[in-house]
Amino acid sequence: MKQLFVISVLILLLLSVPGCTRYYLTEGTAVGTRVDTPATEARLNRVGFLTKGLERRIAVQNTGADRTATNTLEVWCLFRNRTNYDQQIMVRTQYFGPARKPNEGPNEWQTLFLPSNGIETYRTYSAGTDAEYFYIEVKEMP
Amino acid sequence: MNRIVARKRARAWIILLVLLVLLSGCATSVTTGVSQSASRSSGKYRPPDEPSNIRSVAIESYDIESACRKMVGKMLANPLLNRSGQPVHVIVDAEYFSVQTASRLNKNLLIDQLRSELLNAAAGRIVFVGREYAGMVEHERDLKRTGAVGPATTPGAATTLGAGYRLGGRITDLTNVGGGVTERYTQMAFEMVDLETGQIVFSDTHRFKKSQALGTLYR
Repeated sequence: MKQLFVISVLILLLLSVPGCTRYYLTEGTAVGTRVDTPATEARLNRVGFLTKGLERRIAVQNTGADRTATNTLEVWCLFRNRTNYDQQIMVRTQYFGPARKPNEGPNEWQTLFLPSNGIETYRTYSAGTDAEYFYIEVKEMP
Repeated sequence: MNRIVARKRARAWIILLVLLVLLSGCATSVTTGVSQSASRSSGKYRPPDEPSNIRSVAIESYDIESACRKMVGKMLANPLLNRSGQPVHVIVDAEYFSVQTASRLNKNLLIDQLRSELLNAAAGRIVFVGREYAGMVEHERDLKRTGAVGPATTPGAATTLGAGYRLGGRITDLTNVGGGVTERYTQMAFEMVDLETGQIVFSDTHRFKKSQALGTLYR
């Protein structure tokens, strides 16, 4: 009986100690984590889907950028709805300078309406003239 | 006999205790000592450039931000407004911008943001004339000229700036109601007019359509 009691107390302690430490945060600031994997980096001059699974429903047919008459960057992207139903997506762009430095914050979330099996072009402009690269983000309309 | 019953009871208590410990371990607890209830309150901040959760047909912050940033990009891509070498002088205010919509909107909310974003993005490529502050400027100039106040840090100018272009435009909408649903199509038109010739050198629109299901009480 005594043995059983001692063993059970030990089990209880073992279970409760890690249970407590797991949920108590340490004070102070946390160090940021940098994750260097191809999946997490901003793929410049490409499109990134923020909503999981959306990339299976929306295809990126083509992307590109041209200089305007005033030397700003015009970015465009052609999307295709791969499904048999209408979809709404939100698209925005961030611009990067010559050293791949982000030099212009993301511009407005543009809403695109894609008819079933249809295509739609997203088009946006940088404000500055030193934008060289772009990164387009796509998410599902909430 | 009593020993067996006591042992069974002890086992039951132990199992019960183990289960309690396990269950409490699963529960998430507040450990920082700071109340988390504020994050669940209704007055929390929301990103202004995302659609509202209210889902009404009226113009919201997302529409204003979208229109402003779209126009900034397009105006700066316009070679007539954004000349290299000699910057053009423009007036961007709400004087010639009208709101002709069913829902009320303070047009300064839109125009102030447009001017501010355009000015910062243009980075000296366009000169902005504050015509709505003309009275304030003239009053200060008079005080300086009469010697009532000393000279400013900026050099004196014979005249204040004239403008080559001025913003004009309007917001209009079309509302349809039927079957318990309200649909509203809104158009924001922005134009830049040459103040010498009257030529419209820039024109673009931001358009959107929204629908809202109405409750029985509001039909």
